[in-house]
Amino acid sequence: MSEQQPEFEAESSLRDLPWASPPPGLSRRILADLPRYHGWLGHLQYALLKPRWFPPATLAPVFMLVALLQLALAAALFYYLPMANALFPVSAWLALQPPLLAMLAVLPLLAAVQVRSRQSAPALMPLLLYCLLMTVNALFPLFIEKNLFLGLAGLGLLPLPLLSAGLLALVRPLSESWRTAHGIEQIAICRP
Amino acid sequence: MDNDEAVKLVAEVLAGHRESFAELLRAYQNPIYNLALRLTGGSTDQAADLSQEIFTRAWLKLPAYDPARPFFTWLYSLALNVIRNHLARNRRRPPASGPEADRLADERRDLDPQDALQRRREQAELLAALQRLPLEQREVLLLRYYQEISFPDLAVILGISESAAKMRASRGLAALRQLLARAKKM
Repeated sequence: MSEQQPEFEAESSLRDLPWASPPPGLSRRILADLPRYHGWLGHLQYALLKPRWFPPATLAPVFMLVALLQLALAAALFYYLPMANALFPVSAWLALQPPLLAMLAVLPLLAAVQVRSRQSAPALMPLLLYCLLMTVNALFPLFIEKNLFLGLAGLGLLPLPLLSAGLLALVRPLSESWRTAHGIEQIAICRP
Repeated sequence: MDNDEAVKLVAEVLAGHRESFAELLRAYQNPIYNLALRLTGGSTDQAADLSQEIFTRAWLKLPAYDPARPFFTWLYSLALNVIRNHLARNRRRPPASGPEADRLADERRDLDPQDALQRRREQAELLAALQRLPLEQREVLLLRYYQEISFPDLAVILGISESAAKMRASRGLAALRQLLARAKKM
């Protein structure tokens, strides 16, 4: 009998464990996101963007990479432009690139620091500003200066703002609407 | 919700009535959330995130559901896979303990404070002991005794024979009993 008693206790204690209520709004949150996952595209999206396992902090290296690439480009232009200037007249747009690229690189750098230290989605406005200015800057020689050679060089800058815009589009719906809108500011995966 | 009703709702969802999924969600959200909460021993946020992943995956895999099989066993198998993957990925992260585990214990108001305190302490011990069990034993104990799923259904969910499920439950209970006895001695 004394052998059986503890077993009974373990079993009945398990039965007595309380049921917790799911957080309010959980079903609404699930239903609101389901239309995103429909058909083969939904499967692909789900595989790529499994929301919970994609904390913004994981994007920090990518933002950092964008910033570093841009700084490297600015440094290279700063170094080589005087040499190029000796060979042919450098356009005003090209001459402006080293300081402009170096200045604009601060924005993705800030985003990298922000997502890494605060584990939150990057601030929208600075990155939108970065994408906008970089895109205008990249398209400027093609459409305003109408110089095909410089235009092609300008287009080479486009991947940087496009990558940032893509990351922003990816991380914001996940972290903002999935978490912050429901009062969850921290990412569960980053909790102690 | 009985199985016929669930199968009917699944058919409606597959026919394009997406709102029928809301009824399935309403019916199964609570047990799935609690299963995730108790199996991971994690935070309520974590259990909510896991529930979301489970239902999203169910939504995507619904066309592959075989109506000959009870819907809830299909959903539970899927839920267990998601939770196992999560636990495998987060092996190094310790489960919730201390205040979080205490918070997950019962908060019955009809008991006098002394009894309530004792009950909370016992439940916290039980939750801690559960987390120290191997996952397969934890699964079977929680499904059988906490969620009160019959052994035949349990066997279907786990993909093992009924006798293997019973054996696993009995070993799990023995291990849990030992852990609880050890905790009481300390």
